Amino acid sequence: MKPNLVVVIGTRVRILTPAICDRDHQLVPRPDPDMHPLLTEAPVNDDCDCFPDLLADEDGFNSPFEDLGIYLNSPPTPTQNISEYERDNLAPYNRSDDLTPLNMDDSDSDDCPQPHDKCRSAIGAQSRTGEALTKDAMRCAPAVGEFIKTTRYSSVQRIEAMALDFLEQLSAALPSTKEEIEEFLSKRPKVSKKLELKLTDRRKRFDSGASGTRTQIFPRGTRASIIPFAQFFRIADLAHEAIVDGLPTTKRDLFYKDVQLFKKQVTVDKLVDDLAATINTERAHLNIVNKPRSRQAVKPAEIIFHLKRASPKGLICGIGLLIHTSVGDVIHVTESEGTLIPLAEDISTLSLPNDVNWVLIVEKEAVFQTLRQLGFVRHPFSQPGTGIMITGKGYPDLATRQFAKKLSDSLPPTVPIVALVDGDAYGIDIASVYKFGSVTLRHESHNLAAPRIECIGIWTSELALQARSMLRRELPERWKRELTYMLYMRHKAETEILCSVPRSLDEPHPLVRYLTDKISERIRALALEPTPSVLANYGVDEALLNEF
Amino acid sequence: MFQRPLGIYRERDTTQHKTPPPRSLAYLRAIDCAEPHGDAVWGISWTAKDDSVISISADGTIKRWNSTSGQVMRTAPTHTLGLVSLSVAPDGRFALYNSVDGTTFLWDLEGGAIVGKHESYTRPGAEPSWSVSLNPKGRTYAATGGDFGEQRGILQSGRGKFGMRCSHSPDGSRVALSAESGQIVIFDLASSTLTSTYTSHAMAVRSLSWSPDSQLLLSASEDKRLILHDVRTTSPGRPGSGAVASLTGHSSWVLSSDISPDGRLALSGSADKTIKVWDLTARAAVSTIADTGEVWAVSWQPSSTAASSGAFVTGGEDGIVRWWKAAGTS
Repeated sequence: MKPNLVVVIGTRVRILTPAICDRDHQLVPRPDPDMHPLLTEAPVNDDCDCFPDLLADEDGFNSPFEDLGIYLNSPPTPTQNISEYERDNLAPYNRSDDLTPLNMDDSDSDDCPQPHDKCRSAIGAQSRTGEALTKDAMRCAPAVGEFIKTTRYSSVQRIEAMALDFLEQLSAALPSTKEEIEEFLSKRPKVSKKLELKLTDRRKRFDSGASGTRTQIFPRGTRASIIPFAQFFRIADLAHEAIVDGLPTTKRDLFYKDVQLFKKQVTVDKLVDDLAATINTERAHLNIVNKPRSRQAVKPAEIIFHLKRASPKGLICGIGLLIHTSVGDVIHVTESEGTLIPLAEDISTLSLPNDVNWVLIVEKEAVFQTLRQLGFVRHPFSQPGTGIMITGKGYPDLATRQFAKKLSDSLPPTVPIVALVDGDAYGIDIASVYKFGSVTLRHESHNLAAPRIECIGIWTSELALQARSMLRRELPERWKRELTYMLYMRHKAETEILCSVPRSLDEPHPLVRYLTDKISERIRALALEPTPSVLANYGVDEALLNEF
Repeated sequence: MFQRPLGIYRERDTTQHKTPPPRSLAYLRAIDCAEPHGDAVWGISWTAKDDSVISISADGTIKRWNSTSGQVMRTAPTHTLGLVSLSVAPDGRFALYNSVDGTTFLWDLEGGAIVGKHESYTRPGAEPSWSVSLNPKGRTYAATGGDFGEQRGILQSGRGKFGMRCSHSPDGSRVALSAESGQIVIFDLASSTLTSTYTSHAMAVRSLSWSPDSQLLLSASEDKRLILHDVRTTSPGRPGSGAVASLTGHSSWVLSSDISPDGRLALSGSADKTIKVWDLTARAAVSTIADTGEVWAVSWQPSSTAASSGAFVTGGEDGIVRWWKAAGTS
């Protein structure tokens, strides 16, 4: 009886079978007991050579798993011991030319143009591996390259650890004694042990901040319950391959690698995010990107340079704002037209003008354009200075959220960041995505959520009052009629309505007036007393502040 | 001016059925008004006095029509802004109407003069009125506004909810108010308390109509349904409680509703440009009439000599006041 299981493991996997090896394998203890079980470090026992034992049979490769149809891409040669094997496995990362930044000579870190403290602080700011690497980290060669290697290495390790765990369960579930084998081959075999795959459930979150787990179990009902396992490990294998070989791949590619297994693109998307969440990395670190520029073999170092330029959605408008990208371009953000917001990974430096007074995040592009045409960014409010306007065009994409987070972290606490959303459910949802993060990318919300953002939605009651007060003024007939109809129709409160209301040229635009009131109120409030959330983001201790 | 029958009229034997099965009724266009309003008709009411019809329009005019000839009998001075709410006393003596900016007028229909004017936007701290309703019994009226408030004693029943419609019950004891959020509350005037809340709708309730015995309340909502509430029983604000029937069939917002004087038929006008007549006992539509634009206002003829069908008047987007009569009646 063959279970319907095909698992393709990555090219180089260590297989430890306690049943065969009689050595004492010590697993490295978990640093944090609350950590997900699969985040354990892989065993680092260099003394074990059970692996060569396993593969030392005459017929070459004779794994007990072969009957089950587990295929290794290429069997490693038996004569290596573990440490060399490991070195070869991870050879791409050891090669120094991979770590040579562009335009740079190799290896001497003193030639790195970035000051080292900047590099280090970029690394130091991220306490855990697997977080977003700034461009700075890449410029500096080997010392930082170590870090990169470690990061990538740990992702690879973790995937392999998962596969190992699964194989261990599998081997434990298979019969080993004579009686068990006879029973196994009998007419009615009973599978006593179940195989479990623990994944991070991105939708569950405990109060401590740890994520819940969900478990896939085989067998469960029909034999088809192995398919989730197969799908997951196929994704894991492809991600493993992508990291090790340095070939970025896309979710679409992953799907087309095995359409029959995945059946739907959605499955692939979910599994990729699940894998990233379980391993506690970003999807980009699994080398699954949106649209790689080229499919030729590129060195891992170069991958980051060529990462996605695919359709960023968000727009930004401001005065005197400069975005330095990783490829060396400088994007000048102007007030006359919106600029697309690049991904945070592509941004090396962001230089903000000193006099940024406010930041406005707008839900709808139409409102953004209207405000831009009105020159709203030049509005000084209470003190001289300008503002920044961002729109995510509806639900914001990753780049916009990262950018908002960046601004939120960098701007002083006296600068309000407000979100103008419609007064309906979608508007509030969008504001919450900026502020708290989304459900599906919850494991990355430390990178993406900016609780400092405040919501100033357009509420129906305010809209009505505004419009009705406008009606009492002297307006041309047609305009009054427009306003009247708008009020009577009672459409969901949309900021567009305020934008489209006609008005005389010398009067301030109602939306501008509304925003002016709201933002200046926030500026005043923050000048008096920065809110705790703002302070926390900025890293200032409130107690310290009170001392002054 | 005879039109083609718009429905199919079939004889049915109702003696064997416990409840009469839904019939189909036909309605014909009787007459159109002589001079249409310049803009959409937003409120209409067939008064008991002189069988005349009052209509208000977005162009700021309020007109009184002779139902037989379709001619204008009287108009009040045109307001600069559109009129959004109309409430006529049952005896037809007064008409209360409100404009979009919150100016409320009381029109003496006998004398012909405006006898009252209230600029509700000057009320400190409160929103201007939106929908107004005359108390059938006395000289008071209720008005909704941005705060869902009431004219006599501010009833702050909503937090920032917009009060779309208010309507006194025919016996003058209660006022029903509906909000843009879909909530309907019943306010008891004697005790000045909220007696019930209904959350049967999740979208704005555009129209409320009482049955003549003040026991049923029909609400018309943007969720394309009309829901009949039994308002005799007090019920907590559980969704769906108090609702006894749901009339579906419109394909767009239901904008206006009215219950016939005998309490058996209901009338609804919708943004899908149709008018539907519903049989309330059978809870089904018995007639669908196509109109030229959104039907903003509908009103039954107050007293009807016919047993099961009567005449009604509608006003819509095109600004024309239309009278309809049942096929078979003169």
